[in-house]
Amino acid sequence: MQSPTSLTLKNVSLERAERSLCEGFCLTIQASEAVRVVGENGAGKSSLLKAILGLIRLREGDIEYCSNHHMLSREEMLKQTLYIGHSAGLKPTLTVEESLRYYAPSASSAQIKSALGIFALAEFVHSPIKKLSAGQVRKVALCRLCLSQKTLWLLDEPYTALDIQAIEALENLMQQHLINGGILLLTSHQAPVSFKPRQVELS
Amino acid sequence: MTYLSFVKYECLALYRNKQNLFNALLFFVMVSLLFPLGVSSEEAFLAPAAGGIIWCATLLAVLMVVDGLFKNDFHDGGIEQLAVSGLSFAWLMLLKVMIHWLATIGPLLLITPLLGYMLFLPTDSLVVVLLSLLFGSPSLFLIGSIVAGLTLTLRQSALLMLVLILPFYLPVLVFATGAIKAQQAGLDPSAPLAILLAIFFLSLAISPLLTAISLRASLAS
Repeated sequence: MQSPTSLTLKNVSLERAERSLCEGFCLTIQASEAVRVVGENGAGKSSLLKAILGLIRLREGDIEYCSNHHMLSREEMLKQTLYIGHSAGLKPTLTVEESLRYYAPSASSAQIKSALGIFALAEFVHSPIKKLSAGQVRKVALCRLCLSQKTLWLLDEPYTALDIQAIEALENLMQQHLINGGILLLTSHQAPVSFKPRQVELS
Repeated sequence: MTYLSFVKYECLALYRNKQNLFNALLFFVMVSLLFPLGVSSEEAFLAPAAGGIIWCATLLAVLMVVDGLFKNDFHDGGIEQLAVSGLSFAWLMLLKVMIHWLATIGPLLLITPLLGYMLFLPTDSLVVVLLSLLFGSPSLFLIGSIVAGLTLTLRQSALLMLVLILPFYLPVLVFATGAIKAQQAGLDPSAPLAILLAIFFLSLAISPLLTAISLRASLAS
């Protein structure tokens, strides 16, 4: 029997700039499961995530997302998806608090405070994004993980520019997400320390 | 993200970047000032030319704003996040264009009577000038956003954008100045004004979809 929530990639073929990235790639991720995509630079890890999001067209294959035994359309899937890519997607002139409210308008001040506390950013609530360092901007983007109740997390190199404490906090969040029945798909050159995601190689 | 939070923080970010809008307004005033200084400051020349001068200055100012419409958001990854937000990408883009139109054209409309006075624009023509700006300028933004999305990832986008965009701006310019000329010749300006409105509704119907498509193409490349 299939679990209520799952992401399935069937025979996915991708190409980028006339170069084939993957052929007939298959993957099924169930609820409470984490998958880490590994591969060399340029193997197509980021492109795979973008293809799931519909930013890049598939050359062949299908991507299916099921929730409560119903197959959802791409738009419905995106409503349950949280994607954090290479760029943080934060406007430089907005403050940290405003940036988080932009993505999570229903979050209370206490929730925002606790999310920033997790990543040791509490003192920067009112600082504009442009005044923060690269690692801090990254952490603000990752605060969205605590503030939204999305089932499917797609994280592209989430460890980039993070310090050890932030990596620990991030892994705690990912584990909590899996306990709550979420799906996690991440690309990373660095293996998580505190839990073992299933590893899938792209070549 | 919701449509409401998008509009709220888009406005806030625009307000924090008000220098750009001020630049466009300043540019508009400067171009209008060049004509009396450079050509002739006599009423016989300026009074019939004022409407055309104001429209050319508007067009150039809008080109300046439209060129930067998506640039910052594209580089900080904001456009990508909008495309995967699960909200309708086309609606979000329409909202964005509307916000930028209001922020640019609002102050421009306020300052136009002053410029009109300076350029000896007859008082009865002023209403037609303002109406033509109100009906014509949204089309400039809506058409511009399609091309801005298309040329987003190109390195030398400014020139290509100009070449792609100008043919579509010409009808707006022709009918807008046509309305002003008709009024000054004692004719009824409502026909060219109606055509301006028709161009607006047409671009309103197709621009959000085409902007979304062209931005998605830029994101995929």
